[in-house]
Amino acid sequence: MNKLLIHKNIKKHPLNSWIQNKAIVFLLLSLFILFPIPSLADLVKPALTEINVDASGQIKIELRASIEALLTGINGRYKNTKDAPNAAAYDSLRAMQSEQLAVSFDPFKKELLQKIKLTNQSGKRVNLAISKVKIPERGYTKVPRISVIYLKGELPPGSESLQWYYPLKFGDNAVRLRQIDKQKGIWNWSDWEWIRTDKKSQPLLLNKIAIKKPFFSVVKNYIELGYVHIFPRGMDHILFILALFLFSAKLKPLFLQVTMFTIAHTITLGLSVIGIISLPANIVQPLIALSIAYAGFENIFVKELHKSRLLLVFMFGLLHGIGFATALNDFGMEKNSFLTSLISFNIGVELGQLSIIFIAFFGMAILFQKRPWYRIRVLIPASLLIGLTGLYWTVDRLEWLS
Amino acid sequence: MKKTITFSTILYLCLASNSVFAHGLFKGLGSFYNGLLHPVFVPEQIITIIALGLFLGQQAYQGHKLFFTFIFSLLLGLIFNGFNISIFSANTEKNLPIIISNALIIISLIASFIVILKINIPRIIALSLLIAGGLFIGLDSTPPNALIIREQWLFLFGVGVAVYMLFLYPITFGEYFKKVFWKEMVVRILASWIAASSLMVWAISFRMLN
Repeated sequence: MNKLLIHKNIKKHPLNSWIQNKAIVFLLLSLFILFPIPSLADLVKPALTEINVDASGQIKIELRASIEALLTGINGRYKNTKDAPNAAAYDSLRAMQSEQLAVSFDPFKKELLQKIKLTNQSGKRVNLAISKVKIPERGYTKVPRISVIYLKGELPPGSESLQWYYPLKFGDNAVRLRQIDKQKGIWNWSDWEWIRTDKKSQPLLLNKIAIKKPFFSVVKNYIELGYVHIFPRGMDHILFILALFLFSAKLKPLFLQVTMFTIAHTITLGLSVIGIISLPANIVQPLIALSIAYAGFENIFVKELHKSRLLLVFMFGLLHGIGFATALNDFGMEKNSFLTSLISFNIGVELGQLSIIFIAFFGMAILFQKRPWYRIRVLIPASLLIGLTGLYWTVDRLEWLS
Repeated sequence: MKKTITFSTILYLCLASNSVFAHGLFKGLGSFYNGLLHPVFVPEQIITIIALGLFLGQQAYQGHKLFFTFIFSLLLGLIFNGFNISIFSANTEKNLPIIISNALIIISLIASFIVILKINIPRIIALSLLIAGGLFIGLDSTPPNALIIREQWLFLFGVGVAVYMLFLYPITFGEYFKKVFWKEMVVRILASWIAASSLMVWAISFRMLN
């Protein structure tokens, strides 16, 4: 027995097959008409701020952010740049060459320097200046272009801690502090602090060189990061998990599929983060979308869990793992707690997946699964929707098509 | 005579009342998610969905035709909305939100009264109720003008998904509880709440107009 039966014979009402065919055609047509589904390629990512303070009191800040999002005011309120009313302006900036964008960014520098603040414990402000702006080439336009804005300043005498303020209107941001002692050749990174409100960061203490970060703080930060990456921000991963769930909400096939997916994405996540494998986003992103489309459409036509499905889920998991690694790399890894960060992030991803399954089970399966119409009214339409969304994203993410 | 008075009263209220208009946007949520939430926050839509769902669940119609008729009508309404297709005269168009809002309340009242009284009604009447219900919910879900066209379609798409999902719950509820007498009473009591809610929404909207 090389396959597991998950759907026993479905009762054949004389009308059912006719209606089923008609319903599929009807839903397909309707969904194609109603189909400008959100493309989640250009996710609005938080800005990453790294503040470097050396023993001589020099401050150098690297602010990694999407200049296009800054200029258009598209911030973390939007899950996707396309949700914003000025998405067209964003797209036109995103399509610019780096030199053109640099010119567009020039008038904004003054406002940026006015709005961001770095203060010490007594509220004294560090005078910051932009020393350089590094804008990458246009590249794959379906993902945000992360530019680096270099700032410099001097630490006010007597400073014991610093607080960073980055206005919420510029978006969410995460900040960490590095203290460097070049003479001794040592440095210390603080934890990342993710700031989602219009407030200053917690005080970043300047007396922590060589003090190892608390284990639970690293675990908490990275679990949260992994979780949020799936739920609610990772719509593509949500749809893939839902497609697996819809195939069968019964424990065994669901467990097998989710396990395959988990093992696979854990492998590629690890390998990508340590730099053994590296696939460009313009290949990975369309393939992830295609995997969603496939999983959705297969639900309609296949009723039994074959080994081939498990193998495919495994392969798709490998792809999604590379996607997770991109998110993790964007955030950066704890140099001193690399393995802890990686494992914690993965746990966060698993918890995100479990949350989706939990919601789908209690919100949908537990009520509808035993109804005679479950397949025709829930499974097929939802799978169609997922399949078509995946297909739309695939086309949308193929850069050469646009 | 009584019927005439009742009919006249309903007609009067229908023409006089204003819609409970809750078509705002939750800022920052995105058009799709705003569309998803829209039916929940428009009282006449949610009560119509529940009433029609309970009605479809309680009546023992075979097959899926009636269910998909509702969905098809809903899609049609959404498409009309998306393309700004007007099927009404300019004069009617002016008062369309009010008319649609009242029509939805009437549909929910009819459906919930059928459930309360547990009358087996002919298929053609059920079909008409579902067509009207779906179409009017679709037409009632006008996306905010501030949105660009693509965002408007996203909003409508969200509405479609939400109504589809929401419709399944009362159907399941109606079907599940119809087999045993005391359980069947649960459905009828719920329908009476829906009827009462419909009347309340109507009364409030009538007051708002005044």
